[in-house]
Amino acid sequence: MTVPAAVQPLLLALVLAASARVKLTSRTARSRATGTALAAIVGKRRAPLAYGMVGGVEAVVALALLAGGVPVVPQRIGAALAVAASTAFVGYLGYARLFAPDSSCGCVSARQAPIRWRSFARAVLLLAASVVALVAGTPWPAAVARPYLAVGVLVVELAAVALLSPELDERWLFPVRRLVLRVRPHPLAGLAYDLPLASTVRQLERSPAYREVGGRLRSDVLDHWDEGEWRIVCYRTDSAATAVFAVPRLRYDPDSVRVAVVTDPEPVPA
Amino acid sequence: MDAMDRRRLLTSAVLGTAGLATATALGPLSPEPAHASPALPATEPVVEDPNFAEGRITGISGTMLLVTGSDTVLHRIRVTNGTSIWKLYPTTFDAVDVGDGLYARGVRMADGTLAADSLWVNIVSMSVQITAIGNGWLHLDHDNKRIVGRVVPGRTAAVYRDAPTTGDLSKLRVGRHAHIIGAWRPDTNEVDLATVYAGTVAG
Repeated sequence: MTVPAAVQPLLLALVLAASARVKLTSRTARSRATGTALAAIVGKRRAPLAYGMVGGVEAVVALALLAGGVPVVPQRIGAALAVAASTAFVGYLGYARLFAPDSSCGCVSARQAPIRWRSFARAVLLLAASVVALVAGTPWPAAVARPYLAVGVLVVELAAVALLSPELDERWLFPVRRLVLRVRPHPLAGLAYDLPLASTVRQLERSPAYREVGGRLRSDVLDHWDEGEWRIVCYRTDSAATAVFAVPRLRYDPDSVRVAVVTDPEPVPA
Repeated sequence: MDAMDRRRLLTSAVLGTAGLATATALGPLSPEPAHASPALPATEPVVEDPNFAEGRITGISGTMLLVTGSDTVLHRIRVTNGTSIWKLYPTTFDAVDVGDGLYARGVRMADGTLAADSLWVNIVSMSVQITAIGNGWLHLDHDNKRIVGRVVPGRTAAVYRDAPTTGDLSKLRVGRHAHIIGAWRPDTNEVDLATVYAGTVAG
């Protein structure tokens, strides 16, 4: 148990350092701080500064955790700071979820990510790691005793953190989903149909016939149907007549669009 | 005259397969009034457009829609057979339900009712990122909110950059940013997709 416990300070230091790096060095991330839940707590104007300060605190905790490797510095100092930081972070997520549900968590990347269960699971994972590190108090260099086990635990835990990071979806989840769609038939492939109405309307709006009467049309598309090689589209005009357009169905030729204006022989009640 | 007869009449009017006394191509449309439609002065954006209304339908009485605006103003909107009604696609008055949201454009009458020329029911227009694609649906992220975009066979269309509108949705990719027009299903996070504009936004 000593080796896995000794790995925890390293895991925490790595995650905190990555998070601090973004907060301290990425101008984009700081400017986006106004969109994070932090802005709801300290105000929009102070959010970028507060965001940077959180990054500073994370860097200090990461350093304290790494300092546990120096024989005279107890590992528990860094671990205790990490417990405090993770607890505060779980509290922050809870607050954000309750009072600023639309905001981004602003956690470990400049990318915006909503606060959902994954953010919570990740925060709880880090809290658990901090508690283990605090209780065991094993300095991290002890992990060298069983290097394969140590690296294995670290890799698994880092992978878990990555899986639970919505900010990293674009790096691994989206490519995986794209790959799946490439390997398997595209789920929407079978749905293609010959001619959406929007396509007809786009052609219609580029036609001389439409330019002629467009200014007199008062309604959107009233009715439409297909008639051989034509699609018929009807609109209401300002003189309460019906403008009937015939648009080529399966070719693009706006010049051949025809129009007729028909006065209703009998008004039909709706 | 039933709907089929009417369609036949209009078809022959525009395609000219039959002579019709009532059909005169461009006849009643003299060019002058085309430019005489009253427009609000563009320099006064604070003026509320009296010929426009938006809100949610709280009641339907005959052909009158009672609509509560998002600013809590109550609108009465009269629908006629000359009113175009969009709800994912051009449809008829029976497709309109209490609880639906709408945008209406028309002419404000002296009694305060809006005689509607056009209704767009539950229409939404938003920028999204496609986060997953499945059998008949897209998961979309809009301002950190997850939207489920329902693909409606024979209705949902896609525009890839400047290419013509197509019914082929198989070029949509996970991670792409897109703009969607669709019909919101009231009180859910689901949208029936009308058009997906893909690749019009960088990313």
